Amino acid sequence: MASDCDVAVIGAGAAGVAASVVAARSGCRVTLIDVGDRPGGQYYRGADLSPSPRAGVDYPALAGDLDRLVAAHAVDYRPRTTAYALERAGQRLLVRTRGDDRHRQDVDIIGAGTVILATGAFDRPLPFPGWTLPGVMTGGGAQSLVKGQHVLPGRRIVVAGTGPFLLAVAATLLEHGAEVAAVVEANDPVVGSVRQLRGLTSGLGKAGDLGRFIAALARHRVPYLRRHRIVEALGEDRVTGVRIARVDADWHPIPGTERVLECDAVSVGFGFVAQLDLAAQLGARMIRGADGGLAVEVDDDQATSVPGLLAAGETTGIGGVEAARVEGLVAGATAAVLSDHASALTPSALERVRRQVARWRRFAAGLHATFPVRDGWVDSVREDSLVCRCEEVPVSRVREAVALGARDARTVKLLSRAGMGWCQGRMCAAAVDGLCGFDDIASLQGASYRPVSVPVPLGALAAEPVEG
Amino acid sequence: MNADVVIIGAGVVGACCARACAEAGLSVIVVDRGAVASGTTGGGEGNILVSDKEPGPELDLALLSRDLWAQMAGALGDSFELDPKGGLVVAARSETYEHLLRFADEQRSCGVIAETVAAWDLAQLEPRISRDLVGGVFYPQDMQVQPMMAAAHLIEAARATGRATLMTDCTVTGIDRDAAGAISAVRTSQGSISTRHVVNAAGTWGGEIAALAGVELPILPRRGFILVTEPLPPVVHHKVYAADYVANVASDNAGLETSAVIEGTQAGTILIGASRERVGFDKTLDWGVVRRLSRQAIEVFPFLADVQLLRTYGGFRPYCPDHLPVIGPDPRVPGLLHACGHEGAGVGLAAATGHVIAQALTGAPLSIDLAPFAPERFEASHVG
Repeated sequence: MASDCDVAVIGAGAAGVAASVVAARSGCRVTLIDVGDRPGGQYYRGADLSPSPRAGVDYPALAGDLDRLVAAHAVDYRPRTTAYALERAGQRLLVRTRGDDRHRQDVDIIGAGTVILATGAFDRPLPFPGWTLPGVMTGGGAQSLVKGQHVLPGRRIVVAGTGPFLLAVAATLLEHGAEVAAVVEANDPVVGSVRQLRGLTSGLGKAGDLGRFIAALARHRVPYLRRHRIVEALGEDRVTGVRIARVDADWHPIPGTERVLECDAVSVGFGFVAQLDLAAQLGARMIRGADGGLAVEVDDDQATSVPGLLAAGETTGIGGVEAARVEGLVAGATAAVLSDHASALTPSALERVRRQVARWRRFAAGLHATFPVRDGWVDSVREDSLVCRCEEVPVSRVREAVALGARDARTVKLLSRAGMGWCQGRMCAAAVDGLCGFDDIASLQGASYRPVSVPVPLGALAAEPVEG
Repeated sequence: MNADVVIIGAGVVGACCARACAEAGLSVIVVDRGAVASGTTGGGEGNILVSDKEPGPELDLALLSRDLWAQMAGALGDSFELDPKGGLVVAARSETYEHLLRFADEQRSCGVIAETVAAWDLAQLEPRISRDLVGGVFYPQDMQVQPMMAAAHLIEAARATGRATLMTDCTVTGIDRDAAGAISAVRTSQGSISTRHVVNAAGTWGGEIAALAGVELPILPRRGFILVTEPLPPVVHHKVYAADYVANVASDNAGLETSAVIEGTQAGTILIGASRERVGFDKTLDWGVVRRLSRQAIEVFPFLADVQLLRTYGGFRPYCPDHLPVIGPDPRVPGLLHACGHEGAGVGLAAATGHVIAQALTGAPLSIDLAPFAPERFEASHVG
C-alpha cells in the first residue's frame, strides 16, 4: 500500500512533535513516522509526562496537542516505523518506511509535498584500549537502558568523555540507585559559579536540569574530574576498571598522572553526531555545525537546499532539546505555508519563536566552544584497538589504508572495511577521521552518505508497492 | 618531475599497468584526480570472468588475464582476497537453457572449461539454490577479487620496485606534444611531468584524457548498482548468475536492464548485481532497480527474501560502441597509449591489459593481437 499526505514528519522527538502539531493545526494532512513506541525522542524517552491540558508551545503542551490530533485522525502517527530512504518524484518526495519486525508487508511508500527531517542525533564514541569490553557503553546507551528498560548497566559506574550530557547521564544513574565512581571530563569547563555552568547546560534540557544534576552529584559525593580522560578500560571478560590520566588542553595524557578507578560499567560520550542519511540521499547541502560535525544547512524557515525538504533539531547542528522544539515550531509553520494553508502560528508568535531559535543556537555555539573534542585522544589507541566494531577493523588496518594511498574517509572504508558493517560507520566515522587527520567537509560527507538508512529485508523490497 | 611513462588513473587497470611497467624496468608516475580505486574500480564486484564472454578477442584477453591474475595473487601473497570460486550460470526456462548450452559449446572450442550441470545437480554446487531452475553451466575458471585492495596493493607492489610513484588528488590539466606531435609532458594540478609516454587508464573518463591529447575516444558511462546484504555464514559458494546476464552485457539497449548476479564475499556479505542503464553520471539510487534486483535474486535463491539489504553502491562502466576495450598505442599521437573502456570487465581484463601495455612500451613481442582493441577503430576513415 502506498499512502499520501501533505507533510511527512520523520522523527517524533521534540522537533518532530512540535512540527507535527503546528502543521496539523494549520490544516495539513500530517504523517508522523518514528522508531519509538511513543513520542518523545531521546530526551523525553520514558519520561513520566502527563500531557498538559493547557495550550502552549512547551513540550508537555505540544505532547498533549499531539495526542488529541492523533485521536482526531489529523495526524497519522506511525510508531515503530523507520524511514529507510527518501526519494524525489517530480514535485513530491517519497518516504520509504519499514516496520520494526521483518514482515515483508511492513514496507510502505509515503508521498508528501513537504518532508520535515527531525531525525535527531546519536552518540559520538571514540575508541580507547578496552572500549569493546562488555560493560563499556555510550552515554545514550546507558540512558536508554535505565530509562527505557529500567536496567542499570552496573553497580559502580564511571561516566566519561566530554560535555554536559555526562552530568545528565550521571544524574540518571544516581536517581536509579547506581553508584557513580566519577564523572571524568576531558575538557575544563569554567565552573566559577553554578550559575555559569547552568547557563551552559540548560541548552540540553529544561531550565533547572543542571541544578538537579549538580545537586545529585554533590549529594552522592561524586567527583567531577575535569581535564581527565580514560586511557584504557581494564578487564578480561568484562570491564573491571578504567585507567585514567590528567590531560593537557589538547587531551594528551600528562605522564605520571595515571591511576585506576574500579568499576563494573563505563559510560562514554564525546558529544553527538546528527542523523543525516535521508538529507544526504537527496543531496541536501551540508555545513559544519558549531561542534565541527556535519549538519544540514537550513534557512530561517528551516528549509534545506532541497525543495520541499525542511529540517529541525539536531539534524541542523547539535543544539539540544529546546532548540529542537522551537525549530520544529518554525518548520511546522513553513510546511503549512508550503501546503497552501494559513499557519496556526500567528506572525507575532512565529517572530517570537524565531528569536528563541537564534538564542538557543548562540547558546549551542557557546556550549561546543566549551566542550570540543581534541586530537590528543589518538595518543591512547593501540595498533590492535578496534576502530570499527561491526567489521572488527583495528587501528593498524586503518593506518595501512592511508599508507596505501587513501586520502578520504570513503577510500579508507573501501580499503579497510571500516564502516561497512551493520551500523554503516555511525560508530566509527569520527574515529577514522581523527586517526587519519581527515577534516574537510567533502570527506565527512562521503562517509555519511548511506543509500539505505536502515537494513531492509530483500523480500520486503521485492514486494515494495509501486508508487503512484 | 619526469618519468618514462605517466599512467593516468589509479584504478585497477592503471594499477596493473603500473606494476607491469615498473617490473619491466620503466620509471612510472601514476596520477589520479581522486584516491586509489575511487572511480569504477571502487564501484564494482571484482569479477574475473570468462563465463560471460562470447568467443572472440575479449575472451582471448580474458583467458590470458585470469592466468595472470592467479600469478599476481601468488606473487603478492594474496593481499586482495583472490578467490577461484568458479561461476555457475543458471537458466529458469528451457529456451534460455538451450541457448546457454549452445553458448557454452562455442566457448569450449576456445579453451573455456564449461561443465553442464543438470537441474538435479545444481543443489550439489549450491545447496540453497531454487528448485525451479532447469539447469546450469559451471565455469571453474571464473574468479573474484576485492578490486579496491587489488588496485592499492598492485600500486604498492609497483612502488616497492623503487621505480614507481603515486600522486593522488592530482588532476591532469593538459598533455603537451612536441613539434612532431609526440607526447612531451603531462601537466597536472601538482606540476608538470616530462615524459615521452602516457597511458590513458582513466576508465569511464578516458575520453576526456584522450581529448586533452587531441584525439577522440567514444567512451560513455553505463550505470550499475550493486546490493550488499548483511553478513552471513558462507551460503552462496560460487558466482551465480542468470543466463540472461550474458544477453544484457552485450545489449545496446539504453534503458534499464537487470539480471541477477549473486555471490558471497570473504566478509560474509552477499553482493547482488547487476543493472545496466545509460543515464549519464547520475549517482542517485533508483529504487526501481533495487526492487527488480531483489525479485530476480530471490528467484534464484529464495532464502534471500529474509536477508537484509544493508547498503548499495554503484559505478559507471566505461563502454565503447562495440563493447570492446581500447588497448594499445594510438597511432594518431606518438607516445600515447590507451588502457580504458573495459565496460564491466575492467577488473577481469586488467591484468592482461597491464601486461600488453608494458610489452608495447618496451618493444617486447605482444602476447595478444591488439588490432581488435585499436584506438583509431572508431574513426570514420578507419578500415578495420
